[in-house]
Amino acid sequence: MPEHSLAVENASVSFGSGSTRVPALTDVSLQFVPSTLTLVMGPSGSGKTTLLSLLGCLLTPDAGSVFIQGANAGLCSAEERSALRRREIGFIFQAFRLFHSLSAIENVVIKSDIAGTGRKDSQKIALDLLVSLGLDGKLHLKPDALSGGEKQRVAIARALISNPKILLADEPTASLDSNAGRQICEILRRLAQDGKRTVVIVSHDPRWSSFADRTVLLEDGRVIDDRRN
Amino acid sequence: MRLAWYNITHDRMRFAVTVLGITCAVFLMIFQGSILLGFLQAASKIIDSTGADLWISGRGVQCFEFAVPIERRFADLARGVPGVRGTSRIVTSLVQFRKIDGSQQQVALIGADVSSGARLPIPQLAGTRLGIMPDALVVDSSNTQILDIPGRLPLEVEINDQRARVVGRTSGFSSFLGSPYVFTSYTDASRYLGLRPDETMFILVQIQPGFGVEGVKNELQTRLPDVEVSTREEFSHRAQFYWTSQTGAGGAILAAAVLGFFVGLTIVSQAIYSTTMEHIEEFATLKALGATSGYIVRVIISQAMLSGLAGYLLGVLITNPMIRAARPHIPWISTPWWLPVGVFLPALAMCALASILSVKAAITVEPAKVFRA
Repeated sequence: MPEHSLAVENASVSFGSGSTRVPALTDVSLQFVPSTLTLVMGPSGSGKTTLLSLLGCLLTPDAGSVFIQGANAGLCSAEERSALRRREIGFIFQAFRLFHSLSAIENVVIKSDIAGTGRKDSQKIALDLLVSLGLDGKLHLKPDALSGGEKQRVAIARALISNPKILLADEPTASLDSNAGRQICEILRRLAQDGKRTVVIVSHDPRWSSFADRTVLLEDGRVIDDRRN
Repeated sequence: MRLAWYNITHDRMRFAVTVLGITCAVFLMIFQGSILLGFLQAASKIIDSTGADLWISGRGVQCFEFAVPIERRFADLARGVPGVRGTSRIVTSLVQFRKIDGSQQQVALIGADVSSGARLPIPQLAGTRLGIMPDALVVDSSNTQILDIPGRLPLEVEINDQRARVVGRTSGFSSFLGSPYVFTSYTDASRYLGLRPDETMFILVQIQPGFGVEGVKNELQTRLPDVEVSTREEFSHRAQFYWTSQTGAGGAILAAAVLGFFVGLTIVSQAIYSTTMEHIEEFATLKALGATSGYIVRVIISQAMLSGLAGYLLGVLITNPMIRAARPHIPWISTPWWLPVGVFLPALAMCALASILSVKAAITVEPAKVFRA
C-alpha cells in the first residue's frame, strides 16, 4: 500500500478533436497523502477543475493513471468508478449541488441511499454531522431557506456521511461571505488534520493559503509549482 | 424512493399537469373501453339472451339484425335429427311504429316463440308460462322517450299500420342501431312483417342432455346444407365481429381508446421529460456522488409510477360519474369491474414508456458538469 491515498501519474487530458483539440492537462504527476490539505491554484483555464474531475473519477485521462486508495481508476469499469466515488470520495461544490426538494437532513442521507445503507443509521449519523456543523436548528429546512454558508455545511455533511478518506472541494468558499468562508476553511482544515483525510481544494480564494499544508500551482495544464507551506 | 416523491411534489403545478394528463388518458381508456364492451354486448345481446344451443340461419347471415327468410320446414327436419330436443323460431325486421301523436318511428321488431328463452322479454299473459298476449308489445325503458310512451300502460299504437298495444317495459335491451328494439310474439311479428306461413328467419335448436353440441351441429349441417348451423357462441362472436370489424364502428371506438392511450402518453412524456430536464443537474450530482445508472433509472421510473398511480386513481374516480352521465345517451355502455382494473397496467406501462426519453437524458448526463458553477 503506497503512502499516498490519491495520485495522478503522467496524466494528460484534452478536449475536442482534430484541429479543435485543446489540451487541458499535460503529463501531470501528483501524490496526495492523508492528513494533508492541498490547495490547487491557478488562473482560469489552467486545468484545476479537470484535475479535480480526474481525482474524483469523473473523468478518465487520455494518458497516464489515477490511483484511488491504491486502485487504478483507469482499469475500473464505469460502475466500479461509481462505487469508488460512493465509498472513498466526498465532494464539495462551489454551487453546493443540494437537492432543492429535500430538507437539509434528507440531502445528507441521500448519499447513504445511493450506497444502499440502512436508513435508520444514516439518519442518526446525518443528524450528528449536521449538529456538529452547527445546523441543529435547520435540519428540516429546504436549501432555499438556508444561507450560503449553511448550504455549504450541509454539503460538507453529505460528503462526510460515508466517512470517505478523500475530500475534493471545488471553490468551496467562492459563493460565501468572508465569515462563512472562514468557517468552511476551518472545518475542512479540521477534517484533514483530525480526521486523517486527504483534502484537495481548488480555489482562487487567497484565504486558503493560511489553512493549506501544500499549494500546487497549475498553468496551461502543467504543474509549475508544488510547495509545502 | 423519497427523492422521486419529493421531486414530483416540489413543483406542484407540474405534478398536477402530469397527473391531469394521466387522468385524461385513464378516463379515455376506460370510457372508450366501456363503449366498446357495451357495443360488443349489445351486438350479440339478443343471441345471448336465448336458451338455444344452436342457431339455424340463412347462409351468409352475419348478425341477428340482418336476417333473411328461410323455409320453416327446416325446423321439422331439425327435430328429426338425433339429439334435438326441440326448436323454436325467431324473426326480426325494421318496421314503422306509429306513436300516439301519429308520427312514425322506425323500430327493430323482434318476434319469438316463448320457448326461445326466458330472458327474451316476450309478452305473456299474467300467471301463465306459455300464454301469449295478442297484439302485445314490450319496449325497453331507455326507449320510452323516443317512442313517446307515457307512464301508464297499455298504450294503443300501430306497427306497419296494424293495431298493437304496448303492455310492458323491460330493461337491458337498448339497441345500438338507432332503432329501438320492440318485442312481440312470433305469431304477431310474422303478421306485422307479412311473412309467409312457410317462412321464418331463425330456427333455434335445443339439444337433449347427453348429446354434444358439436356433434348435433355437424349432423344438422350435413342434413340441411342450404342453411347455416352455428352454435350460439359462434353466432354471437360472428355478430360481434361483424359489427365491430365489418361496419367500422368498433374500429372507430377502438381507435379512440388507443388514441386516448397515445394522447396520455404524449402529455405524460412531455411532463416527465421536462421534470427530468429541470432536475438534470441534480441527476449529474447523483452520478458524481456515485449513483449507478440503475439508481437513476429507479428515481425516474418511480416518479413516473407515482404520477401514474395518482392519475390512475383520479381517472377511475371520475369515470364512474361520467359514465352515469353518459348512460341516458348511450344506454348500452358497459363498465364491468375488471375494466378499470385492467386499465391499471396499461396506465403504468404508459408512464414507464413516457419516461424512456427522460431516462436516456439522465443516465447520459456528464457528471463532471457538477463543477460548473
